[in-house]
Amino acid sequence: MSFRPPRWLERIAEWALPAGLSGQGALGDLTEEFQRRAAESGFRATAWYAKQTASIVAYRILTGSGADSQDTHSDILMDVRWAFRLVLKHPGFALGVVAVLGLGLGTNVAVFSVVDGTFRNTSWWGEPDRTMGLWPERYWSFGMMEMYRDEQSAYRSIGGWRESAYAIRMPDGTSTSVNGVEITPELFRELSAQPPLGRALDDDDAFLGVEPVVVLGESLWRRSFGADPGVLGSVVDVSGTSMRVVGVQAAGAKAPGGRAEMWFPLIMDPRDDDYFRQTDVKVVGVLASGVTTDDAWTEVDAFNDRLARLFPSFFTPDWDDGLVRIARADESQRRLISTPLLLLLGGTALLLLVTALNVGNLLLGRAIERRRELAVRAAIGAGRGRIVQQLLVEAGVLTALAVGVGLYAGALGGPWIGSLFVGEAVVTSSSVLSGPVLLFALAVTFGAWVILAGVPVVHFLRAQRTGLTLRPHSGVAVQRSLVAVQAALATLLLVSATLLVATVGNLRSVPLGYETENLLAVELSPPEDRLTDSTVARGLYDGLVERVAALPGVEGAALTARTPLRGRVLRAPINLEADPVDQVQAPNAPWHKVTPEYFEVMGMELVEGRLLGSEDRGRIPTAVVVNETLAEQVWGDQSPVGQRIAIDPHMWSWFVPVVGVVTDIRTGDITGGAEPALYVSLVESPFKDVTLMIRTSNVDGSVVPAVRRAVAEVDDMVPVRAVMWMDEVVRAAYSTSWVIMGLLVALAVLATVLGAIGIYAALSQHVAITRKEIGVRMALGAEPGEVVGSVVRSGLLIALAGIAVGSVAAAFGARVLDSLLFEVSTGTPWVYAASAVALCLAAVVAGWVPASRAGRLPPAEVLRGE
Amino acid sequence: MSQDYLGEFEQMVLLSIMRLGTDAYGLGIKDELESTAGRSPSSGALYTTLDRLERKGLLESYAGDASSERGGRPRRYVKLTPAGQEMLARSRHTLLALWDGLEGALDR
Repeated sequence: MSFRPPRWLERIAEWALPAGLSGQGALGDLTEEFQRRAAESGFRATAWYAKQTASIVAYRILTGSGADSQDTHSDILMDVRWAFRLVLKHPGFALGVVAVLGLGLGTNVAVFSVVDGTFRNTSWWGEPDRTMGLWPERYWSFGMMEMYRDEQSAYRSIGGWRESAYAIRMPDGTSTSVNGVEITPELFRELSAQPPLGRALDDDDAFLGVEPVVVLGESLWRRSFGADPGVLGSVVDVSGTSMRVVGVQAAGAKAPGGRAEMWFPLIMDPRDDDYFRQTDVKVVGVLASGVTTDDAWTEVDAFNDRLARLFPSFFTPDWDDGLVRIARADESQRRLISTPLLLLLGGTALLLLVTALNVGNLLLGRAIERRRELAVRAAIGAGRGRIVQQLLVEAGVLTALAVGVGLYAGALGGPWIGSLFVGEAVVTSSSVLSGPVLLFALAVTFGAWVILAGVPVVHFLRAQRTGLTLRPHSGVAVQRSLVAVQAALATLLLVSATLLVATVGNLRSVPLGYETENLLAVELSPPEDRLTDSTVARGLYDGLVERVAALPGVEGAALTARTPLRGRVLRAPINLEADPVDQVQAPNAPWHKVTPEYFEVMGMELVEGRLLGSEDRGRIPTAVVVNETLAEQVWGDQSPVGQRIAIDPHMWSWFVPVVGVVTDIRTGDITGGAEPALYVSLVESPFKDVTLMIRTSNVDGSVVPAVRRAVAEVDDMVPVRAVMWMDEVVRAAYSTSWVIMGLLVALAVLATVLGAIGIYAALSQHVAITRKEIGVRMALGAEPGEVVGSVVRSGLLIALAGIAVGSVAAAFGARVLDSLLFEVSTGTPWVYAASAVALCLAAVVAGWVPASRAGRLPPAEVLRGE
Repeated sequence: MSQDYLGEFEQMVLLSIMRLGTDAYGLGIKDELESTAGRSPSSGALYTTLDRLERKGLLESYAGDASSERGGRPRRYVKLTPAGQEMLARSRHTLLALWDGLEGALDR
């Protein structure tokens, strides 16, 4: 039996050992001993071999050998040793460089790991490149989807999904709320994760009348069924329907849409009134092989015309001009996060650039200090290449040490940055040790090394070319321009950060029109069967509002079909009795289904007429309340009260009186303009997903469990989808801007500090070099104040040059921020002024220390010293 | 002057080579050091030392047969050069001179 040590270990040992008999002999010995050990344990033998290899490498690096020092291979080792000795000789300098550079690399690695993780995370489809969302921003009706499915040929599979919450009845009689997704089986099988236990949803499951089935999520299976494989084939009660468990979905598998833990077949009865009416299905298709996006586009475009004729209400013209759109199914999530994250990556890259320039500058300074050493070496015959190599290796050793710090910082920072994006469920970080992240780390490290080494090398070569040895003065111009570049980059970051600060300030001061403090939103998803009979629905709604309103600490409670700032906006076209219009041309407005208490809970005031009341309890809407913006938009100066409008596209001539006008509140997009709104009674048009809005007397944690209990007491098959304070909802609405702002501010401050350090270093050196000149000036009667002023001024000049360049760059570069900004533009002058002032202040502070040192120079001593 | 000085480990290695005679190659030396001197040097230390001693001209090496259990690589046998033998003798002499009269001093 013959064993061989791992090839790669052998290669390393071979590399570190000298060529010829000595190396071959040693390698042979290692192999022989490995054989002996491998006969007992292969693993231990490999471990032993690795240890021996490490010792050989370590000895080669630390002791080197003079015998073969003629080839570059060991020249480099010599340079590495030399560089390490320099590190040990000036540990403070090395520590500073490694820490600063390591943090610069670390922030890049951390942000990249978030970018990478998030992009990877956004797709729950098996083939994200070929999985298309059809009208991704819209919801289809089930009937429309079925019609298109029968006609199309562009997709290998096409289907729909919708999400909701359900109540599972446990064996002990209690019920628990679980988010679930209804999905057509064909589409389920296109998910990237498929059930490891049991089976996937099958086409046969999606027929009317067959036994309902469910696939459980792994986490739900563990939490509620004790991870019992025996659950397969058993029947569970899901929101009142008995369903047979056919599979358990893989751990960590994501449902389309987010965090669902149950999957059911999406089925609908064509005889159902809502078959074509209820638009709540997201349609997704996986392209057939050979079909391009353009083909799919052409096909759906033709279908579009037919749909527009059949379902005019679906195509209200102010929705992207009625144009069809097809895009990758994961596009919206990607777009959501790509701008902020890429922006952040750009920011960290700028910071790294500033850092590398700064450290390069320090190395240049050191090279100038060591000019004698270098000149001597050049004089005794060390070639230009030899010295350049040494400079490269020195920078390389520092960079290599920094990589360790960088990877560690990245490993800690990535998950932390990811956790900051509370508003975006898809943001996550991938491991620092995964391929793409390591590759990225390698690339930025290489980039940093090029700059780090490039600064002294270019300078040295220039000095060589001009036939001069390195002289102190020859470095000053280079050093100053490098510092100016740093100031320019810092300006870019400062401008960006200031824009975001202004944006967050503006977002925070948006008047919502209601107090978010002490306002609790509880999202509920009553089972469908509670809504089919309007008497049952009415009983449920009344029960919920009354029971919760009676709880201690609760001042008022109301139901709405939509959580403010969160839920999906329902829009309704408006037809005026006085001036009938075609559905396609009709204006439309967000449609709020609320119980009468809503106005009071939200703090809205009645402007005219009356609010919705207990009399508005018909089977279809009988009264409408509008807000001031809508009143103004539709009726102008006239009073809307008493006007009659139709708001249901399916009952286009059913006119309902407007009974009142209320003040505006903002419940849609926090960054949008004034919102028109119309309110109808929820009781008159029940809706599947409702939210209890609860005004409490204080933010007392005990009210939440009390509300949950109250809901369960009213109907324990009404699942609670989510509970949140409106304060959190508001924060989540601008959390991305908030996080980006925080991180950019941190980057800008760091860049400014680094820029200031650069100015400080340049001026210190300047003062040291021009000691004599200063001494002469002071001997001739210059006041210390003048000397101080001139030094500070020269620092300020460097900063101003940087600010000028940086501001121009920012004016163009900051446009990538546009989509994140709110009520502030990249052209706002005060933003630039503020950034310039901040940087100038930093420059003055940085210049002050060397300047005052210059001012205190005793002229007599300086001159005597020369 | 440094040419005259032998480190402790260098001395041990040279002595092991002499003890092994014609059988002295890397692994053999390592085993000898382990069994007789109770030292188990790392490969890096041992091979670096062998190279250094050869560079100093204290030992010379020659190739033995290659075998498959060695991955087709030859053994590197080493033997002391006259200079090496002289160096070892001098070293012994110096040590013995220093020890002279102290033999009993550590036995208590």
